Parts: sequence; structure tokens; C-alpha cells
Amino acid sequence: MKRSIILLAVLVVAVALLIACAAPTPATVVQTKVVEQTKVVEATRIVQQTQVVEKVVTATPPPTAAPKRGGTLIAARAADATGIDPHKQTAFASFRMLELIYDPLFAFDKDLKIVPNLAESWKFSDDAKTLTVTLRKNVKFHSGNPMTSEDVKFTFDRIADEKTGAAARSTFAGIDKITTPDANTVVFALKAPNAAILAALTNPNSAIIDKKAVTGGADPAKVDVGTGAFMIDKWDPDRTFTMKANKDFWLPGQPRLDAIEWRTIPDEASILAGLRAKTLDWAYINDPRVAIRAGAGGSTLAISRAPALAYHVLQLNAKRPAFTDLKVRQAISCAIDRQEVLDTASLGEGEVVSPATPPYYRANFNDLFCYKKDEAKAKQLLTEAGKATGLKFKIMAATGEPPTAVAEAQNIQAQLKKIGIETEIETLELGVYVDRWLKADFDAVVALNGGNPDPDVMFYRYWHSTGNLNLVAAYSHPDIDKLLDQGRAIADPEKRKPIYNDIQKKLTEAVPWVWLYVGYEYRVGQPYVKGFTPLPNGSLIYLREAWLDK
Amino acid sequence: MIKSNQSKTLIRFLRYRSSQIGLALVLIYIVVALFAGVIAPYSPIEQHPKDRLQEPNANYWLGTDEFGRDILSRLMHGATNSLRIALISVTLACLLGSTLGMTAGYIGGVFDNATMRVMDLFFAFPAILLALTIVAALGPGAINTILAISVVYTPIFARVARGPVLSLKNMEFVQAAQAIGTGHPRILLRHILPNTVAPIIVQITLALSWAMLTEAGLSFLGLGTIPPAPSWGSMLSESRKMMEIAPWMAVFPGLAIMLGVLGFNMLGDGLRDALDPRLKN
Repeated sequence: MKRSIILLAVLVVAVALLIACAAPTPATVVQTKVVEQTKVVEATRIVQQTQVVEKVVTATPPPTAAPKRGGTLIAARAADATGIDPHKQTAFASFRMLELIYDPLFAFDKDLKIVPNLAESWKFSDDAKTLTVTLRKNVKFHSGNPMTSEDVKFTFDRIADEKTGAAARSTFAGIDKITTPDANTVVFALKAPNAAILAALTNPNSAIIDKKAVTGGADPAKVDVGTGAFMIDKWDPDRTFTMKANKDFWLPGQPRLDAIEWRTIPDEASILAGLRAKTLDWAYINDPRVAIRAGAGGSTLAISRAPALAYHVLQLNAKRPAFTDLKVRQAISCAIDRQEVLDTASLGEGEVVSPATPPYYRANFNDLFCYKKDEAKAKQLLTEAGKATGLKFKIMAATGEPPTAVAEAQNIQAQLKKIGIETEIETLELGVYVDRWLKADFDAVVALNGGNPDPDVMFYRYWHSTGNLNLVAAYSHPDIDKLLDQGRAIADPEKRKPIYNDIQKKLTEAVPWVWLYVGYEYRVGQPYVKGFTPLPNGSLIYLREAWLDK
Repeated sequence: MIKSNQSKTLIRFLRYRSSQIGLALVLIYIVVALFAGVIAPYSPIEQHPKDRLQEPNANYWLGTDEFGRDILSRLMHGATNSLRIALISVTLACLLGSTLGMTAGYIGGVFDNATMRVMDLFFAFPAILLALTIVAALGPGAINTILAISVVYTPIFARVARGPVLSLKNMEFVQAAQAIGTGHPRILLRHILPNTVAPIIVQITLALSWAMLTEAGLSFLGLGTIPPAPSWGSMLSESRKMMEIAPWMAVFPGLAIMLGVLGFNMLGDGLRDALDPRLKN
């Protein structure tokens, strides 16, 4: 009893000393400094050593690394699919599951080039108004039925049917007519030139489904009617999602795994703990603050990170009185050091990015307005706008989605304060946030918006005056409309690039938004999980090539 | 007579080790909270991006967070924040609760029954759950946090104040006052209140520690103090994910909450023992 009281008293005194700001004597300061320095030196040494060791290992890859077949991959992620009807899902978490079970006509390779998937080849007419797709032969649905052009037509009829409530209905509203000259050929007649439709045809929302099974009464919301590398074995929502290999998959030798057992573990820190305890083989992680811990402290986990396409952005609502003046918006863009937002909110885990996030279409920062912080210019612009003092607005942020949102808002707040702009952070629960975001009911908002390898898919919905999210973007301009229409009519990437460059220049000058950065997509696994290629759009389709080296 | 009683109580209070420690902790806490603006080395919300995630060192005694904000300064201003919220909410709860409890006990009958059943209803909910529900409904922010905490702790004060009144109202000095025609409000204030003060004071110190804890809990869940204003709870919650790379970000707010709550608890315990007439020796 007495001892514990003395102990407490000592604690109290220690805290009292800390809190009462008693300055440590100079001697102690020097000592601690020395200790810290040696610590740092040691730490770097160790890091260098391990790096060398790692290099040696990677420099001599096992020459006979023929992929082994079989085994079950135990995988985890924070959120489960919200449903299994491929045409109705909108959540990233659902796509990650469905792209393993269903195949669309096209896919992206690791450089985000469009490659045929269920299609074998394709051809655009010269006016980009007719798309002729030749289908792969020998593709079988999980039911055993062969896939033909009839199934493709059936799929797009289902998507176009209002009763289905398909997520991509408006995306494919530009399809005028689908004809099937023979069992392996499908011809899409488009209402207007649209080369970007290929990118939309890579999404699980356009997955080809089994006509015979569905017309025979199978409900895609309940059973699997796909052609994918894996088929649903058992789905226990929000707990486990078990998939088994499709033995008749159209790519010979794939998938290499026998099965994948997906576990839903909502707290990413727990996923990391599971990986460390080796109860999990593989996982994908979103929060950079969790992911950077995966490699710490002699960890044997293999971590791959690729810049994401989804981007962090400060959306300004140009329809609100605070932002109707172009100069005010420009001042905000000039006042924000994007790298600093990335460094503080995401611990530097990412890249500052132009409005278009696919690497090929990214604009050069030198061509863009105020991509380098310029405080003097910001102040001058504010003065010209007559808002040198007294500008005030609210920044809306969702708690936890993305996990860095509130931190981003806090850093932006601190940076804007330096040019005399006062902001108030409004944190909202995700459901409320999404409602208000969709109604454009905000002054400014910190958001993580989905990207796409095709800039048309990224831009059209926000920046074309007829885009379905133009209300949220709160800005449009006839010049940008014209450029967007031009961009989607051209198939050749070389010719499209300057158009999208121009759009990005115009957008950053008009500053409806302040584009900030892209984070990384993290895939963390045991070293024996091999063969997986991550894609920047987060797709997991190449789990079909993964294998277990054990 | 009264004076010697009070000094006896004071002596008894100071004899307990736990009250000494509690008093010391509470005094430190109050001094830091009151003078945070003067003694804190930095502004609590000023960011130094170049100095982010620094270990405790000569410039930043308790280290910095991911924005390069000084943890020590944030803790000090966090003390101000938590003391302000705890004091206001407990004052509100105490005023409302004791008034209700005393009048209910004094008047008795249907009014007493109705009031206390409503209080029981509030009591039936776990405190943090009730606070959470209120803040979730009203939205985050300092004022709503204060409202939620006061509502949650009102029933406790009502109960504590009502108990002694039940026996006091039948005592001779109260009956004497009634007999000479003293008004009810005056009887309550002059004759009954002074005799119920002791348990209420004990309750106040205990409620202060709960209120601090509740504020920290709500802020931890993102429902209390709105960032970037410093709050011990939100500091702890923000640092949780970075425990491995920046342990100082979590350890110090955790210690601050623990010691603050411990201080008020020990002070409350000491006061209870000192003020309890049954423990007089």
C-alpha cells in the first residue's frame, strides 16, 4: 500500500515536472542528443544492411520458379461485397470480388492498356460509331453452357432495361443497337462516336452473364452466372466469401490456386496483425498509416504498392457565394502546397497528381496553373478579389472515408490560414456526407474520387454540362464540353493526349477543384504468395495467376 | 463551533494520502488548464510540416504529431478544453439535478414520483451510450458535448440531493421554520441546502472526472471536440494507428487522461471520507 502510494507520488512528481515546464539542465540536453544521434546512426546502418540483403535475394531469383498449382489462399480485406449481381454493384469492395467471378469483354493489362478478355479482337469503324467485337471461342459459363454472341446481346439488353436498375445503364445509353451476325461476332452500333466505350467495357458492371441460366430462372443476385476464373463456393456476407477454381477457365493453366477464402476484417490494424501472426496469406489495405507499419521491424511480409487512380481532391463549390469569384478560387489553389497535404495527412505515401490520374494522361505540372505553391500570388489574387480579409467557409469531410480526410482538411485549413482565409471543418458520418455530396450541399469538401484508366470516363461525368455528376462538380464551360466530345470520338491515344492536356490546363485555371494527390494501393502478403500483378485501378483479376510457393 | 468543525474536516481530509495526491493532481491540472495560453511553448494548432513526427526532444519536449504540431502544447490546451467542458457541464447538471432532487424530495407525492421516475429512465441507460446517442443526434461540437454530458449526469445529482431532504424535512428545525411561516423556497435554501452540500460536493468532484472521461470518449469517437482544436480524446484516437511509428503521440495523451481522472477521483474519495460524519473519530 505504502509502496504504491510512493510510486504514485513519484509519477505525479514526474508529470508535474513535465507539465510545469521545468527546463531540463543543459547537461541532460546534450546527453539525450548524443544518445539520439547514435540511435539514428544505428537505425540507418541496420536499414542499409537489410536493404543489401534484400537486393542479394532479388538479384538471384530461383531459376526454376515454375508456378506450383493448388492450395487455398486465405485472404482478407476490410469490407465485404454488398451484393453479387455484377450489374448492380457500385462499391469498390464488390468489384474486387466480382472481377474474379465474372468476365467483361475487355480488361486492362498492368500498363493499363486495353486488352481483349472475353473478346478475342475488336475493330472500330473509321467514324468510331460502330464497334465490331469477335468473341473468344471455347469460353464456358460456370453452368457449362458455352458463351456466344447471344449472351452478350442478352447482357446489354439487361443493362439497358430500366427494371434491372443497372449501375452502368447511363454509361451504355449511347449504344443504339446490338446485332449478332454469327455466334462469335457482336456489332455495337453507337449513337455518337465513342472510343472510350472500350474502357467502360472492362468494368464488372458490364460482365457477360449466362442467358440460358438467367432465362431459365437463375437470379444473378443469388447465384453465380459468370465465366470467371473462380466461382462462388459459399458466401456468408460480412464474414467469409469462399471461391473455388473454375476448372474450365478459358485461359489454359489458370487459375493456379484451388480456392480463395476471403475473410472480412473491418479493422485494418487487425488484418495486419493476422498477417504477422501468419493466419492470413494475403490482404489488401487502404489506410497508409496501417500499411507503412507492415514493413517495419524485420517484417518478412511482401508489400507491393502502386499509385492508385482514385484521387484526393479539395472540391470548391463554385456556385456558393464564397467561390463565385474566379480569383478567390485561384488564390486557394496557389496557397496550397499539395506535397505538404500529402506529407502530413498520408505520411508522404502517394504522389501529387494532375486532374487526370492515369499515368499516360497526366499533364506536366509546369503546364498547369499554380501547381507550385505561390503565397505572394495567392495574397495578390485575394486582394484583387477584394477578399484580403474576412473570407470564411466550411470544409466538409467524412469521418473515416478516406481514413485521411479529416487530416487533409486540417492541413488545408492551416495552409489557408496563412493567406488569411478562415475555415471551419465539418466532420460527418459517411451516409450523411454522401447525401450532401450528391446534392452539392457544401462550400468545400475533401473527397476521394474514383479514377479510371480512360480520361473520358474520369472527366465526362463531372465536367461535361450533361454529365451525371456535373451538379456535384458545380462548374462547366462550353470549351470544355467541346473538348470532351472531341476526346471521346478519337480512338488513337496519341491524338487524344493533347486534348485531355488542354482540358486539364483549362480546369486547373478555372479551379473548380484543387486536385491534390493519389495514394497507393497496398497489397500485403506472405513471401510465398507469388505471381500476382497489382493494377493501379485496384483490380484483382491477376489473382488468377497467383500461386503458393510452399 | 462551525469553524472548528470545518477545520477538523480539513485536517481529516489532508491526513489521507489519497486526498493529498488527488489534490496535487487536480491543482496541477487546473493551473495548466488556466495558464495554457501563457506556458505552452507553441500554439496548439500551428503546424510545422518540416518537424513532423519528431520524437520528444529539446525543441518539442513531448514530440510532434503528423502535422508537426507540438504535443505538449496540445496537451496543455487540451486540459483547458476538457476542464472547460467538464466544469460547465457538471455545473449545469448539478444546478438542474440538485434543484429537481431537492424540490422533489421536499414536495413529495406525485411530483416526487414523476420526477424521480423520469430520472430513473435516464439512469437506465449506460452513461456513455446515452451521451453518444445525444451527440449523434445533435451533431458534434463543444456545446452539444456539454449538453450531452449535463443530461447524462443530471439524474445522479437529483438522487444525491433528494436523499437527505427526505429525512431533513421532518427534522424539528425545519418544522420550526414552517411553524413560524417561513416560505418554502427560503426553507429549502436556508435550512435544507446547507445540510445537503457535503454529498453534493463529493458528487461534483466525482462527476468532474466522469465528465472528463466522457468528453475524451466522445472526442475519441470523433463526436466531441471538432478538429483542429486539441482534445485529449481525439489526440489519442488520431495516434492509435501510428502507435508503432510514433508511440509518444499516444502515450502522453493517455497519461494525461489517466492522471486527470485519477486526480479528481482520489480528491472525491478523500472528500467523501472527510465529510462523512460516520467516519468521525
